[in-house]
Amino acid sequence: MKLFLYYAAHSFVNQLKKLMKTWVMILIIAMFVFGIILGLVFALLDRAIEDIEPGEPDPDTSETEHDSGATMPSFTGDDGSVIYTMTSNDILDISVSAVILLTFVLSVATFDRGSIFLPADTVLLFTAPIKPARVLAFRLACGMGAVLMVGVYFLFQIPNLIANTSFGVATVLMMAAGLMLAVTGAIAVKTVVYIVSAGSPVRRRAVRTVLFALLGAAAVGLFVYRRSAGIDSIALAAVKYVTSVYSRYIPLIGWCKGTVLYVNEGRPVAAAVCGAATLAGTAVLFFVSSRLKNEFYEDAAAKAEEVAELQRAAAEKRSGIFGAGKKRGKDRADRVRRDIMTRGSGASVYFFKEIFNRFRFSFLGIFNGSAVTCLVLGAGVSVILRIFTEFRSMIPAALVLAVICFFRTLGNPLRRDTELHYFAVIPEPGVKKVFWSLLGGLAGCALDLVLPLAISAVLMSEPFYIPFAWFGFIISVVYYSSCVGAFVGLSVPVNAGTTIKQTVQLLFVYFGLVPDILILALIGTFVGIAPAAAAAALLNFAVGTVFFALIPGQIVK
Amino acid sequence: MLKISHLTKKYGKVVACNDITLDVGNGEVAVLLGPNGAGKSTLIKSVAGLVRFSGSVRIGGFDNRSESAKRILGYIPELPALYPNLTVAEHLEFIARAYRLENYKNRIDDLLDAFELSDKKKKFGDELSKGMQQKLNICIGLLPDPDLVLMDEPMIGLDPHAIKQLKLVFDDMREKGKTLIVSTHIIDSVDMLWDRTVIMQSGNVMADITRSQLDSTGMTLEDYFFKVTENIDTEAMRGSGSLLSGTDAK
Repeated sequence: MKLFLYYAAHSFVNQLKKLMKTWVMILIIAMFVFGIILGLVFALLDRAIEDIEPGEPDPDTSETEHDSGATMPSFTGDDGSVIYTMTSNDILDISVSAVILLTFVLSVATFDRGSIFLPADTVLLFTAPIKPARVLAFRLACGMGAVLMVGVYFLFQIPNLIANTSFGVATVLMMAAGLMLAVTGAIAVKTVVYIVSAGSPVRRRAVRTVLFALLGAAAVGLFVYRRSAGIDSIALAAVKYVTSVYSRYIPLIGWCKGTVLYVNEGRPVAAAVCGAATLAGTAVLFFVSSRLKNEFYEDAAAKAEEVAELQRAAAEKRSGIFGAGKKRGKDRADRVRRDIMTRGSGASVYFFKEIFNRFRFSFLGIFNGSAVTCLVLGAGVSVILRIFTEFRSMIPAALVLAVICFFRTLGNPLRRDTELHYFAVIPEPGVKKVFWSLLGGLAGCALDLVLPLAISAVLMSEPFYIPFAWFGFIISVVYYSSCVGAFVGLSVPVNAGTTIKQTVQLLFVYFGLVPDILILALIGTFVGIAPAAAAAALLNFAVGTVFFALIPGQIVK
Repeated sequence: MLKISHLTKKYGKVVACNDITLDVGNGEVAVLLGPNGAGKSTLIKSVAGLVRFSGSVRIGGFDNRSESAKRILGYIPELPALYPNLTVAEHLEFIARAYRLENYKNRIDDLLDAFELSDKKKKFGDELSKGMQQKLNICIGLLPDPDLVLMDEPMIGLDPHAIKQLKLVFDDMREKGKTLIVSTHIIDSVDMLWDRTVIMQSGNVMADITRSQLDSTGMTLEDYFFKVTENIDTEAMRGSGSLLSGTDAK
């Protein structure tokens, strides 16, 4: 624990120190300042409104409505009558269950020999007089930061889920404690799973099978429950299944959940029993892991070497995780063409490189992984809508495609080019190199979009200009997101950490795309969806170009 | 060919290169020697235009960031930097096209033959071993036939044949009047190759000596290096015993 706290504290402080030296700090300060100003302005406005209308009760916070559960979601039967109205307890139960499940699933699902260990661990921790299971648990605990962040985010969402419902102080405190219990329990489970599965592909497969079997059992349980309880609605059956008091008997997950829920129900003894059971279960798992034969050091050391290689590559501003610093385990198939890079001159070679590789590694020159994903999800949405509903619009398909394309651009989409020194030394203007490199990525994205958009337009019987409008909009989103990603990727130091970079990028992208939503909603409602998509696209291209202009200046460190 | 004036590069508070001024003439083979962390790689990267710095660097009379300067500059990094999805031949084609070279096919073949990569032409970048990646890296750096070549620890990872071949390339370049700057911390790897040696330590140029100047002192390059960097007279040490005699006594 001492080791973990020392490491966590120093890592956090060092990350902050690194960030202090970049423009990210200015951004954070600006956010705080604007946040405080906005908060004060809204508070003053609120007060001013209250002064104008004194004594008027706020209907949203009235106890009567609150207790009656008028704002709670409800389930209706075929005749439209309400058959079940959810209580605040149900919503709390579902939220807590979701957080705990997410914590366990996120940690346990990634039990494969991922990059858990850092290169320094091999020489500093593996050789130290510490039990291997403890070293593993320490490193896993360090990697639970993301889970913790997600959990905290969900916890903060609970008040929003239950409008105008407030929990008692004990419940809120127990929520935080429950989350910590879940995180600790998840680390214990992951430690055991990692040790059991390390060094043996057969055991790894077996563990994976067991995990899938557990998920399958949960699904079968829901089916059986629905049949035996005679509930028609799947959603209602799922709510009752998850909130069933018997779910609190499930080891660790259920106990952890019970700890929080029993406090909310005013049953401290039951809560204490659940909490003690969770702690005891976690302790047993840690004890078991310390007794298991540890065979993961060799595996982990090899993986740590790979990580070291990648870190050195990043530090040298050369090939990143896809770079050639590392040799492939196996050569590519002979059928892959190896002599097609025959176009381009000057900076445009970056564009043709992307296009040639797209055709080289794709089925029929078009269908690679992302194209198939776009086709299945984008066109699939329209197929489902066509068959099962009367809804006729390609908006859902277009939005699904926009989301897929957006997430493809997370990180620095120009990384493969900008991380190699050629990008700086090739005698062409920086802006041209960035432009052609970016165009290569956009062209790849455009190829992914054409088919699903065309199919969706036909299935939804849309006018011919609608898919063009959506095509332009999605490409503009990708352009904007790529420019932001490249700017953030290049301007924030390599060693600042991927999570921090992606957080900053998401911040920019989310705020940058808010006007799109407003434009689509307003112009889409009052004028039409095609002009709305075109207007949003124009805005994205304009703002994206501001970031584009900043990229060349960031190529040289 | 290369004129560095008051070049300073800082990483935060760490001064990697401190007010370095250096002239390297046409046809010279200059070696940058220094212990780890001396600032050799940073100096090379600054000249190549890969990092920002204060001061000025002019290559062939042009600012090092200008396209004219880049056109006559070749840079071979310490670690191979290749595209995983381009083959050996395509890497060279890519660079030839990026530099808008003409009549480059024969030069590609010559370079691949010299570094024994002809039979690997259709291998992808990530299908090559590290040594082969480094050889391809050298071929790429030399392909535009630059007037000034910067090599950062070029011999690391090379097999004896490739090292021999690289030394022949050095000779060939010298004969053609090309300028070569090689950074290394392994003195043996560059002995007999150089016209001039610049010794760096803690970001400073500690010595700048030509071969004739060194010959006149009667010292070897290794002796001179240790004298400059550690103020150790290795000749005297050889006479009195081991460098580690003090440690042994403990």
